[in-house]
Amino acid sequence: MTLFEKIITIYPELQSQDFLDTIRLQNDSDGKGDYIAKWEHPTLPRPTDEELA
Amino acid sequence: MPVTLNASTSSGLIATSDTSGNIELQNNGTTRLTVNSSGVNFAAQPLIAGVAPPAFSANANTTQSISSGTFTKVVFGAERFDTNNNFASNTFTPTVAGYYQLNISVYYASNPSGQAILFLYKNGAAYTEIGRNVASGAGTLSGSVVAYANGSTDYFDVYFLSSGAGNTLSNSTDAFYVNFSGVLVRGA
Repeated sequence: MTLFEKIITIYPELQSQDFLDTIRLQNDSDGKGDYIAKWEHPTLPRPTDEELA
Repeated sequence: MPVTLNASTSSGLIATSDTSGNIELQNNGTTRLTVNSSGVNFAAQPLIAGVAPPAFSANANTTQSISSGTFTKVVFGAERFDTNNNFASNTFTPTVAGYYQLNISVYYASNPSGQAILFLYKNGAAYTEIGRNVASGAGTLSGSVVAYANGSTDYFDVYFLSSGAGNTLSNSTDAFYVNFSGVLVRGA
């Protein structure tokens, strides 16, 4: 399951536009995988590492 | 000392000569242009800072899978040319300050839903959107931008975002579909 899919599972109310505006998932193609580069959602807290594990 | 040609407002043309092999054009004693073994140098608002304009061209040489909803750095695994050795690890880091025209094109094989967006990043952050497509299926996004680089720390990357799952860039055999190129068009 990708990071995006994990987050959608935690917060199914998120829309694709959220991942353009207030949330930025990023992969720098350096072998380190996807990560949360920005989380500025006005109501939903950033998922914890435990939730994303 | 170089050979000088000075256009003086009081004495007219003043020429001095030596054997340096260099020449300066002066306005009232102020050097405006120098020609030496490095090339042509403009003293103010240089077109090119004493070197040939750096240029590079890179392309993808393999398929790249894109996770949905994730800004993913585009991989350019092959170089056509890189005149100043400024392109490495998918990143362009100009070592000559100035304004660069950067050209980007990406073919994606599928975008089952949502948007496909191509970004130019500068110094690790989105600098400008190159193109966007909201239609499903395969497509191409391309565009050009002129961006300033300080010649030392500024660098540029290309990122792709696909809202739909299962998208890939390029294909395994064709090197023509995913490209990143640039050239210095004006000095700092």
